[in-house]
Amino acid sequence: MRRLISAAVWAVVGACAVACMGCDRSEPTVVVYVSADDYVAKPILEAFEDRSGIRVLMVGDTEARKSTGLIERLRREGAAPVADVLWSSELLGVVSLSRDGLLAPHVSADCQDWPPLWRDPEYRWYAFSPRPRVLVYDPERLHPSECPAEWADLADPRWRGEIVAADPRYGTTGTHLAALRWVLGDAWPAWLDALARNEVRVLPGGNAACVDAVYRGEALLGMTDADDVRAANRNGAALAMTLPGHGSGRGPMLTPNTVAILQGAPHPAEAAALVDWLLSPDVARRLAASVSGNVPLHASVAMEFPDLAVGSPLPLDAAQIHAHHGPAVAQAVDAWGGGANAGGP
Amino acid sequence: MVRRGLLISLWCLVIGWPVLALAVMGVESSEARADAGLRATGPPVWPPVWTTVRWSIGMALLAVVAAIPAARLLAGVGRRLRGVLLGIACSGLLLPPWALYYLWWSSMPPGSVLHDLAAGSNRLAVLRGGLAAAAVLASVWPIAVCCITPASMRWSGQHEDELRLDGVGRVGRSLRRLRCEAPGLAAAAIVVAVLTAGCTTVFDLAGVATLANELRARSDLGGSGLAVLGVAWPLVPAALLGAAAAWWWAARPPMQAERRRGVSAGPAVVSAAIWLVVVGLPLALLVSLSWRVEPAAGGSAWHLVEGVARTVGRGLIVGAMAAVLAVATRDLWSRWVWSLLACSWVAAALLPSPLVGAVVAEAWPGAVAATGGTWVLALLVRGGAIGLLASRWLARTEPTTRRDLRRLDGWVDLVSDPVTRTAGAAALLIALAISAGDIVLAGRLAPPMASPPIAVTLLNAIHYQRPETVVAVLLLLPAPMLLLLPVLMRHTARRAAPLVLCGAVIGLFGCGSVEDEPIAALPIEGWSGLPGRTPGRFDVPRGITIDANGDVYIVDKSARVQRLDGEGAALCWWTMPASDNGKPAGLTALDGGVIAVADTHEYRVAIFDRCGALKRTFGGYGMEPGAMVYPTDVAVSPEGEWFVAEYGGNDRVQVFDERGRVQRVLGGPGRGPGAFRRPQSLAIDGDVMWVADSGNHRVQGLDLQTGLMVAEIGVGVLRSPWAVAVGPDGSLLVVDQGTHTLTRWAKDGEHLGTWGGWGRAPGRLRMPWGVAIDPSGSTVHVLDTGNARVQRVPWRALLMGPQQ
Repeated sequence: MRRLISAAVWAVVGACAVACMGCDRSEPTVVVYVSADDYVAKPILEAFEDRSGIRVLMVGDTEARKSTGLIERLRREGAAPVADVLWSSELLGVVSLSRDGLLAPHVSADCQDWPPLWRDPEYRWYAFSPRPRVLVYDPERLHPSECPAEWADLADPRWRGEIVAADPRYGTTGTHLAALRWVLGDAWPAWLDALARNEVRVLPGGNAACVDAVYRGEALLGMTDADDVRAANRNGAALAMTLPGHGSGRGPMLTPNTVAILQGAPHPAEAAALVDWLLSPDVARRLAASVSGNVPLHASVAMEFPDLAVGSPLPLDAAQIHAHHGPAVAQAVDAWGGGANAGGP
Repeated sequence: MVRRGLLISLWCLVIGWPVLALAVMGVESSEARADAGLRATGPPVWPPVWTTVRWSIGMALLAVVAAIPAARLLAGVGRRLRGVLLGIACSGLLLPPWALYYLWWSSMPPGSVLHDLAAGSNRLAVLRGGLAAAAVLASVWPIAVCCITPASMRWSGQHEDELRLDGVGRVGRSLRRLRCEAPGLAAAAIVVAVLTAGCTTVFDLAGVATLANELRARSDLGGSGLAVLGVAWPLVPAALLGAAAAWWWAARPPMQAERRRGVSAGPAVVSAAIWLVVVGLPLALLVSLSWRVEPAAGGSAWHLVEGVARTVGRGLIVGAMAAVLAVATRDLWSRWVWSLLACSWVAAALLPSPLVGAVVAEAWPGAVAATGGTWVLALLVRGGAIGLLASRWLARTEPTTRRDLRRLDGWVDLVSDPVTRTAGAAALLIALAISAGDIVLAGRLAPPMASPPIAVTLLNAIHYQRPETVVAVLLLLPAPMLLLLPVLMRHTARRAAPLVLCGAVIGLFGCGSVEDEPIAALPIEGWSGLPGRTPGRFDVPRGITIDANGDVYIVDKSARVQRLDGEGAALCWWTMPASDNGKPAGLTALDGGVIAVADTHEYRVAIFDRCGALKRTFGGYGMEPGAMVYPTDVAVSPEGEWFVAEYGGNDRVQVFDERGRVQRVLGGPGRGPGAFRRPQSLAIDGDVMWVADSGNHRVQGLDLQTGLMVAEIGVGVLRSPWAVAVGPDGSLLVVDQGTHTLTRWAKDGEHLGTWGGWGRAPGRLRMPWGVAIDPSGSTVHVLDTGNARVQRVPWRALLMGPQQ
């Protein structure tokens, strides 16, 4: 009996010890919130640990709630963040946090010459290794010549019932809709209504669910990111993607990874070291070579991956995208339904 | 005093303070409410509410109906066997429902029968919904069984006998029994409905937008606990109702000792079938998947083991708390105030995780959150409720005399009672399982760690198509619970526990198929083809033939005939003129560059030239001579007579002249000599016609003129011979779908060899449909339908017999 109680106590103590492994803060540590795919982020963070001797603790995210959950978590933490660094898989989150005054500026010898298009004017965030926003399709069901050349072409009634998208309230889908609202201007409401008439289906499972829907033949076209298509193809799907333009000669949209240091970060020096590492050519090369196939921004690395080059991408104006995001998402949810119009028995 | 203090303290930490914080925020902060309203915007909630209601009611009905046979089975057996069976029933809790859903869904890729059936009828959403229902059922079925079993135990054999003597009919007795079980049925239905309403991830994967998903979206978008509650309010009264039902039912007085009715075969068979479908099949799929994928790499595997260890460690904390609550609080329930506290705890546990996570996160921010304390407290909402229900069950189970004696002995003696140990272990196990499978709370409340929580890793692996990670985690995750399972059963089935454990381990990791002797792989020289509809690929290839030039013709389930060279490169292709009813199942290359296609579901034979131009057709639907139902193959004799095999109730071979006029009919449906059950393939050799009589599991040799059987081969060996061809030396090559093999036979029935066997590796076969030999007689082409490829085998290698 006493042995049983003793065993129970030791079990709890042991469990606590196991659960709390990794909470040792005596060594240099950096806490990073990551919405990039585990399989892409983890090896890069491990390489950073090996090189710098700084231990990395991370908080990840799931595909369905991509990046949005982490941004809101940082907002809740406010001026006393647990995180030192945010590595987001899209743009809007850091812009929003920067405007809320939650990001700290960071300039170092490694990143002071970063292209202005891919950073905050006040150096509060940096964009790196983007991947294209694409339409995924099954080449056995749709010939490449039939695919829309422009995002505006999705309004064509021939695509009625054949388009799927992720919940616009999350991640890259919301950011892309903001960009579309910005570039389409007065044509935006008509485009949104046309897609609603085309019965675009909003899937609760995120971009990966869109790829799966096309793979399964439930839709001809899925609005998603290139890395999600590559992930599916890695596992045997034979899907293809097209990179539609945004009208007036503006090419495809590139959705960047972004990195920033939190204002009031508990470990600022370690955080700076991690940001410099993430912006290094070495990481650009690793991300380009990964399943994700991110486009390297360093000219020297880009030459090594000519297949990943994207011609004349849409120049992203972070301020414009931030300004358009709220209305774009609200109008899209109103027109399409935010995951509520997905099919079910 | 200590026990009351424990209950009050934990209640305040887990329930009281979060609810109070929510109320304070609601009263004091209008700004917060405005902010919450601003952030938590979204589409109208009524569509997902309506979807949730439909799913909850549907799952409640399904679970109750499915649980009745199992509950009656458990009620009719002795205590020890009941423990064993309950353990088996609860094995569905070993894996979270969303993992079970993934196992189902990933086993049905495009090209699989079920997927194509659903896709063909535009019912993929229905298929997804059905699989989601099966996955949720695996989790709620054991709970429903536990609710209904005590009610079923009140129905005695004596009672039934009395009714029978009174002349009450079968239907009347069944109705009386259902009335007796009604409280258990109602409690099961309510609890299952509320649990279904709280499911999130499984519906996410299935593409079903429910209220819980919408709650998670609003919570992720920054909606405060109050804002989320504003959307979730319809679930609050439902949770209160569910908690009241569960609490009331757990307090029902113990049954009186009655004569057991014994076990009839019906409930046992039905229960076994349900278990096999909702639990056994997904576990088998897991084993199958683990064979197909490459194992996770060493470093990655270690991270997974570490992640599982952390998850189990955290789950043990929650489980230990649940066990302590189960053991320590069982004397408190005579006072209504304690019951009220416990009931509120159970109600909170029945609310969806996004709401629980949002409220607890706001109540315990800062340092508590940074160390993972908030996460554990949120997990304790469910874990603690399990403990309290176990405690309530203990209180009603214990005989009064023993309770009085125990009170005299004091609190230490609580754990010496075997029933108490059982309840504590059960609470620990269930709380551990719930904690391990949770993903919504992990996503929101997990503190910074070296690796993400294992549930997050698992879900991301599902999304990012990493089956090796999924398999590794799903095999690792239930292991600790399997190790603890014997503790639960020790009291009720001391001797049977190791057997159950072994059975579960075998079920999880596979015991392999038992074969009389290993089958040699096909000695192939090459293969071509992949799944797909582009040139050179196949979508369920169903017929193969080779013309005099050595060109290979293959028809597949996309109704496309491809002409390929000997290496598998596509030369040309065409689509059948009509295929709405179904697709062809066989084709034959004839002299003069003519391809005759058995256009199975168009009830005719269609004749094309080598480039796909339709020359003529003959046949047409009917049972009379000259008409046909489902033609399967065509062969032409040296005299120019056309032989057409068919099935569909008129299983026979008809003989036509070259203009398509029927000459005679050979055979008919049946099992005897010269009769057929689905004649699937024909091959003519001299004056003998060989027929793959698939339904009779044999190959018959028939006289071309009379149809009389002159030879019968493969009886007792073949299980579904699907194609037959005559080799250069006159021996027969038979493709057998039932054993996934190519076999070779002498004309006198001597078995000369078997090759292939189920598998995806080159040299193995899956559901082969056809075999053909090139004009030179040097190469045999085997149509490996399940693997969507053609495997080429040198004839001389077959002459050497199977080589291991």
